[in-house]
Order: sequence, then structure tokens, then C-alpha cells
Amino acid sequence: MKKLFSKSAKKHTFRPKQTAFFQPSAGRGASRQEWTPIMDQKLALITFIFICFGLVFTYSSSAFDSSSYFTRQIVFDTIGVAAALFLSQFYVKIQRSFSPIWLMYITWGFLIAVLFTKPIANVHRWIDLGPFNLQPSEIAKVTLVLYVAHYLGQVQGKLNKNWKMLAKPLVVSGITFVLIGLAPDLGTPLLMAAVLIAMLFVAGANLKHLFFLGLAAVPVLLYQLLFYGYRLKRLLSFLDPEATASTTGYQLHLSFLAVGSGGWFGKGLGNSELKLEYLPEAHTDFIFSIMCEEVGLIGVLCVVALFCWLLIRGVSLARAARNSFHSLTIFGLTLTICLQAFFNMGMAIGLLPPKGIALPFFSYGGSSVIMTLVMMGIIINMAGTEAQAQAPRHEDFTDFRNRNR
Amino acid sequence: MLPKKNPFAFNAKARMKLCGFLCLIPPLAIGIRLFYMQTFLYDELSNKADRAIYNFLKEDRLRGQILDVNGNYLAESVRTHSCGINKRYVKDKEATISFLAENLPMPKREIEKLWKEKGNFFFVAKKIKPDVYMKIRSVLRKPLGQGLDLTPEYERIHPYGTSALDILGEANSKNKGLSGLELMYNDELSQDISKRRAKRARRGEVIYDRSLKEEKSVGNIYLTIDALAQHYAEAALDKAVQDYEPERGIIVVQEPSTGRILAAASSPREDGQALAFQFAYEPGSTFKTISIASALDSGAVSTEDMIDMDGRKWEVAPRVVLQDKQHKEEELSIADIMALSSNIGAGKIALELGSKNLFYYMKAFGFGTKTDINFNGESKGSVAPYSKWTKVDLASKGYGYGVLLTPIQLVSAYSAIANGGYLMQPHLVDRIEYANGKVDKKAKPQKIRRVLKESTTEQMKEILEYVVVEGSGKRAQIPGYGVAGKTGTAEKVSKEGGYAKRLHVVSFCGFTPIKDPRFTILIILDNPKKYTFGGTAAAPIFKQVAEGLLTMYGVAPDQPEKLVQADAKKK
Amino acid sequence: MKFIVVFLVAVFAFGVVMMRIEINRSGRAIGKLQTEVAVKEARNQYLELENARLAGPEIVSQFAQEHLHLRRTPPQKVIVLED
Repeated sequence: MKKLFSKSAKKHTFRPKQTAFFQPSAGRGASRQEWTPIMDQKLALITFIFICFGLVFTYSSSAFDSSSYFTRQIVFDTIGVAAALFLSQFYVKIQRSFSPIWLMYITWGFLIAVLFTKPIANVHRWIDLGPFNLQPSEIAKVTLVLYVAHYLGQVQGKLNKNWKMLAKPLVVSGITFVLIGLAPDLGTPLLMAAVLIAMLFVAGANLKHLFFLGLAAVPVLLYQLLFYGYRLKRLLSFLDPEATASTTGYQLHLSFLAVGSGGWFGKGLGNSELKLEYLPEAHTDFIFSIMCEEVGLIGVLCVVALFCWLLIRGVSLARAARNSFHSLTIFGLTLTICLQAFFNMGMAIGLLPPKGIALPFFSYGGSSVIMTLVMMGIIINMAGTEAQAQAPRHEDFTDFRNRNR
Repeated sequence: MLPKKNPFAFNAKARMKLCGFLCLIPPLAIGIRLFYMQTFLYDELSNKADRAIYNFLKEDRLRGQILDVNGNYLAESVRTHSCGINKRYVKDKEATISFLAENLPMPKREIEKLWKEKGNFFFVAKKIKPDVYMKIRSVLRKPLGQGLDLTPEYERIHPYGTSALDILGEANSKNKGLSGLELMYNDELSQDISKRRAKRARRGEVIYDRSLKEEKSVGNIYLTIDALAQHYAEAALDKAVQDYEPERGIIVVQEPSTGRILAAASSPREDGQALAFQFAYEPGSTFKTISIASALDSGAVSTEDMIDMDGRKWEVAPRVVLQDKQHKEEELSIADIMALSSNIGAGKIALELGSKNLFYYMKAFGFGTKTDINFNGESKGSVAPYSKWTKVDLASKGYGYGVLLTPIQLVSAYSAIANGGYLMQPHLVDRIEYANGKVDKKAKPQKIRRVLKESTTEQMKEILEYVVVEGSGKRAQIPGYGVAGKTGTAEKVSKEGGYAKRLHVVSFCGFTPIKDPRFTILIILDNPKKYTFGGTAAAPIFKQVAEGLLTMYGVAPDQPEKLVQADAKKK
Repeated sequence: MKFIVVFLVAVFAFGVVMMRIEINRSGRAIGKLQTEVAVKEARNQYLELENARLAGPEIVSQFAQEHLHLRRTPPQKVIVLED
């Protein structure tokens, strides 16, 4: 078990002691050398599998209604892959030129702007950009992780001594959550809060502080639930979808039917019957139900396993990284993607209340796909930077020699 | 850097590992939950899904048609829709109502009234025609049409109006027969197809699947009724109803050689109320034909016999006296008894025949039993067992009292005389043609039994012809055609017991032409308000209907020599 | 190599999905056409029935008597030409 998160990264590293986590920028050594392509084979393979089968399922779940979803998804995927390829090579270098707080300012700008748009289905979630709708909450996921990781990397070990050190990231993320929550959207803040707490915990926050933080969040949650009646209704409907099938639990009821009728091996790719205009949002939030119906238990367990693999790979890369900013970013982004996936899955099968959270790589949606691929690009970039920095000695040696010249 | 007192020694990598493990709990839970749902709940959920996705196409099937013998539509189903409003989903009440008012044949005010009065869901209009349906359907997905609902329905259309409605009966908007033939042949007209199912998407769209081939097994019913004959009968009956205002009127036309019923008109005409099968009455004088034919056939009397009239006051039994007021003869031949419709004569002949024999003949003619048509609510009439008959009973049965017949029984009996002695199975349904090509022929000529000797029928034809030529049925004469028939004017049992003059049944039953008879026609006017006789009211109707039929079927005159005589007379 | 295998599997899966979805889509198209046909048939039927109604004996004879002043031929005057 112990090896689970370290095995793959072991090759590159000499297992530094705990303080090594806070060693100053490991990438610096590599930065001045000639550019060599960065690519983590395994992450790339996972991403590639996700993209390919994500497209298949997007098509399967939406094409009966309209094939335009699929073509648009291909475009989004292409843009996303291009962005990911670019970021996977240059992100760290770009990042050095500005403070991530600026990313937050831009994000807030978007989040405020979205509140003034015409609501789609009663929520302000998208900014209409002509060819596609921008969803600022998706951007917020990335920028928040980057900002928090950067901040935590800077404060390093002082975090557990003074709770005031926690104030800055909490305020920034609090503002972000409120802005997203105003949309209204409760799922994304919840997800991000989980990631945030995990990052604070990993960065060495005092457990007591975290505990009080958790206590403070309870009234906020309760208020949110009670204030927005429909949330309470949706929350209740997930407990017994059949009883409320005619009203709030309709989606969930059909989702259950889809999942349950899949059986061991499913009805076969493309054979889903509940997508025939029955299950609303079959191609976005509830794509997992359609997957369950089509490929059955065996198939979706493979998908769950892939996400687990991504999680394991990401965490082990984060553990291997010696730069705390890189480490925390890899950790945070991996968790964002995987927790989001599990959140979505849990929602489709009734473990969690339905909250409008997309399944990364699979659900249709430009912002979601592009930002997920951007996350993958950043992870690959940072992991690769770390790998190059920790490369065998003779390169270091060459490095020094070059520097001396 | 390490806080020494903190029991949780800070170690980033360990914490990451912990977080990683914690994050593996949700997928584990998901896996377990999926396993539970997709294996243990599989049967339950997939059944429910099936029920949601598939539905039975039972509704989407047109009811079979009912046609006359020549293939004219008598009843046909048409798809229509009824338009309902679900108030809760209507976006713009004003716009929706004015849209409906534009397209439906009803004013806006009326729709608004319905809106106020009815609950959340109500039907605005039923039996929407296809054009309007298309218009409403085109807006269903638009905001304007939200809350509107179109439910498929069926309208049973009778192109000829109420013609033959009494036989056909009615079917409701859900394709179910309610009365008459629609009820009798409901299974054939609307086959049970509930086992077929179809995949459907939302909004009522059906997804066609090769495995769900349209398998039509609905039958079209062809009747022996001829729409034109039916029209003649109904027109004649309507006129008679106007003239004499009877409580009920019946005309039945049968083809004696095959037993097929060409027309059966009833008045009043209500769906499923075919009086030709359902009305049981005391036939009166028209029954003399039966009793005298029986007597002749058994040899109890012969055509040469003269019957003593007892001074036209015959005491059948103590204090039971029969009177003949219509003639002053002391004795009558059998032909004259028929022509003058002498009750004394018929009674005496019945006594001569004896109760056992008369009963046997009545049963042989099919009285007291239902015909195999088995129409809904068909009456079987009533013939009491002969052992209970008194002498008076027997005598009165001779002239048609104390026995209840249905028109169809009497017509069949006359047809037996017309066709040479065979009781034919009466037919109302000619054939049923199923959509898959199968044809179920129902109206094969079927001799039930021989009732009379052929010689007897020849004698009866002569006697009945004599009745029309010289006797009470003169008004039924048709130039050039031999007509055989018998009038009847029967008093009905009044509430006080005994026979009331005011309540009576006027009838005529006969067939034409005499050589090779084609039509047996029975006319009954029950309880006309204006007092009248069979010879004056019913016989002309016979002539009217028979002329129409003879023309329509192009029957050549069987007695052209009379035609020449009639022409000569005119000149 | 792994990438190529994944890609080929995905393309194959995509082909399967596409085929099945096309079947369903054309099934829906056929279903739509069938309802359309049913509506058109119903309209046609109405016209046919109207035709039948107008050709009914009552209306025809009424028209003949009132507008064309025709009378019903007595049966004696009918000449039947037999083959």
C-alpha cells in the first residue's frame, strides 16, 4: 500500500527528506538549458483514453437528438488539446512572469460578468460568446488551485503556527465561492472547498484550524440549503427519487432506471434507450447514467478505475515534486479532476444530491472540456519540469558547465 | 520547523498519501453502489425502464369498417384527436386561447369559460379534424403550444347518417363497440393486439423498429344489407310513420332462397335497437298463413274443403264466441278464409289440425327459438307447450293470438313458403374480410330443415296470390308481378285483459314475384294512433318497397300478360 | 503504440455507436413519417367519407327528385339486357 503513491515516481527521485518539500524552486536548474519536450507518458495516455472515449460517449448520448453536440465537442477537444500541449511545455516559464493573484482578479471579473447575463434555465452560469458559452466557474477551479498552491508554496512551513496565515487564501477562495454561489451554483464551491481543505491540510495547516474552519462552513451550507428552496427539494429528491419522480426527482429517477437497466455488461454501445429524449441532460450531467446503461457494470468500473489511476499517478507525481508550488498544484488539480468525476458519478447513482457538476472529459461542454485539458497540461508541465530538474547528475553537471561559460 | 508538541508530525508526503487514500473511498463507494444497482436491482429497474420506454400500440389501430353487401361504407373509423389544456404549463394564457379560438370551431369566450370552470386539466375540443390537428401539432413544441395536449381518439362515422344505425350500433371514441353489430363483432373489428409493443421517445414519437411490423388483423364486416334496399325500406317506413304515427314501425326484407336479410328498418331508429330481432308481438292474421299451411301440409284439410261459418257466430267454448263481421257467407273455402281473413275459419282449421301438430309445425318454422343471427337482445318469442293449450287457445293460435313472434321469425316462415318449403338460416353478416387477406364467409345459404312439402307451398302461393288479387291485400298489387301476401290487423292485449280495439298491430307479410320469389317483405306498424287496417296501411308500403327492389335488382315481370291486360284497361 | 491501439478501439466503438444511433434516428424518422401518413390518411378518409355520404341513396334520390325532377322507374319498365 505504501508503494501505491510512490512507485511510479521513484525512478526519478532519491526520496528526499521531509524538508526537501520546501526546497526552493527545483526547476531553476532546468530553466536555462535548451528546451527539451516535456511529456509524461502515462498521464498523456490517460488523457488520450479519456478524450477518445469521452467523445464516443458524448456522441452516443447526444447524437440521437442532434449531432451538433458531437462536432462542437470535437472542436472543444481540439482547442483543449492544443492548449494542453502548449501549457505542458511552457506553463512554468509563463507563470514566473506574473503573480497568480492576477488570475484570481480575472476570474472574479468573469464571475461578476456572468451575473449580469441572461439566465439560462434560471441560472447565471454561462457567458454567451457567440460560438460557445463560457462558464467562468470552470476557469475558477483552475485559477483558485493555482493561486492557493502558489500562496502555500510561499508561506511554506509557517502555516501551522499562526492561523492568520490561513486568512489570505480563505478570503480569496471565500470571495470566489460566494461569486460562484450567486450564480446560483452550490456544487462547484462544495467541490472546490474539499480541494482547498485538502491542499491546506497537505501544506501543513494546523488540524485545529481546519476543524474550526469546517465548523464555520456548516451554517453557511445550512443557510444555502434553506434559503434556496429548490436546493432543499433537490436534496430531498435524491433520497427517494421514485416518490418524487413526477416533479423534482424526475431526472434522478430516470438516471436510476438507466443505471439499473445496464446490468453486468450493459445494453451495448449506442444502445441506450433512456437517452431517447427521456433522460434530461443525458449528454452533460447525467452522461454517466448513459454510460452505465450502455457498457454495464464492467465498463463503468473500468472508467472509475481510470480515474483512480489518474488520482494515484497525480498524487505520486505531487509527492515526487520538490518544489512545493509544483507539488501542491499537481496535487490540487488532480484532486479537482478526480473528485469532480466522483462527485458526478455519485450524483448519477444517488449517493449525492444532483448538483449540476460535469463529468470531466465525458460531459459535453466547451468550458469544462477545455479547462480539464488545461489542468492536465499544467500537471504534465509541472511534473515534467520536476522530472527534468531531478534528472541524473551528469546533466546537472553539464548544466553547471554551461552556466560557467 | 517541526512543532514538537504536535502529535501529528507534519509531513507533506504522508499527508498527501493520506489524502490520496481518502480520495479512493468515494470510487470504492461508487463501485459498491454500482454493483448493487446493476446486479441486485437489475430486474426491478430494467422492468421499470421497459415500462417507461415501451408502450403498447393498441390504441393506434383503426377499427374495422362495416360495409353493405356492395362495399358501401356504413360505418368507418377515423383518427381524430381531442385537444386538452394543462393549465399549469401554459405560458401565455391569452395567446394560447386566441390561437385555439382561431383554429377550433368555438368562440374565445367559450374557451375562457371552460378555463374558469374546469380544473387543472380539461378538454377544449374533441373530434378535431386532421387539418386543425396539424396546425395545433405544429405549435406543440413552441412556447405558444405549451400546456396543450393532443390525445388520439377515434370517431365512428356513418356516411349514410342514421341509415341502418339500428343494426350497426355505436362504437365509442376508444374503439369499443357499445351496441348492435359493433358490440357483437367487437372482437373482429378491433383485434386484441396488446402484445405488440413499440419503442417510443418522448412527446409521443414512436421509433419504428423492423421487428415491430404492422400486423393488421382487424376485420371489415360486409353485411347482407343492401344500402339501397335499406334506404327504400327506411324511406317507406318514415312515410308510414308520418301518415299513421305508430309507436313502432318495422320493415324486414329477406331473400327467400338464401335467407339473407337485405334490409331491416326500425322506427324509432336508435343505435342497437333493431326491432326486427328484438320486438316480439302477436302476429294476428298474418299467422293464418302458417296455421293453414300446416293444416294443408299435414293433410288435416285440403284446398277443396269448405268450412262451415256457424252463422258467423262460432261458440268455440262455452261463453267464448268468435264473430266474423267482414263477410256474410255461410261457408268458405280455405282460399276465401284467407282472402276475407276469417277468424272462425282459421280457428276451425286449427282445431282440425290439433294442438300437437300445430305445435310441431310452429317449432319447425322456428317460432319460439332464437335465430342463429343471435343479435344483441334478440327475442325468441314465446310458444307455450301444447299440453297446456285449451281448445280456445288452439283456435286462437289458428288466427295468430296467444303466440309471440319476432319479425325475423315470421319473415323466415314466409320465405319457407316462398322457396319451396325450406326454413333458411337468416343471415345478416355476409363475410368478414381480415386485413391479412383471410375471408370468413358467414352467409352461406343454409337450409335448416324442410318444413313444408313442395306441393303445399304451391297451394299456399296460389292462396296468398288470391288474397292479394281478390282479398284484403289488393293494395299490394304490382302490375306485371305476382304478389303473394297476407294482411294482419291484430288487437293487442290491453292492461285490463282481453283484447282492446284501440291498441292494435297492423301488418303485411308477402313475397314477390310468385314464380321464383326474390323478396319476402314484412311490414309492421305497431299501435298506430290513427286506426287503420293491414290492407289499407301496410299493403301499400309493401308495394312501394317491392317496386323499388324489383327495379333495383332488375327483376323481370313474371306475369307480363297481366301487364298487357292492365294496359288494355287503361285504354 | 498504446496510443494507436486506444485510438483504433475508440474508432471502432465510435463506428458501432454511430451505426446504432443511425438506426434509432431513422426509426424515429420512419415513426414521424408514419404519423404523418396517418394524419394524411385520416384527411383522405374524411374526403372519402364525404364522397360516400354525397353518393348515399338518400341524398342522391332526394337531389334527383327535387332538382332534376326525376321519378323512380316502375319495375315493369326496366329492361334487363342479359349477356
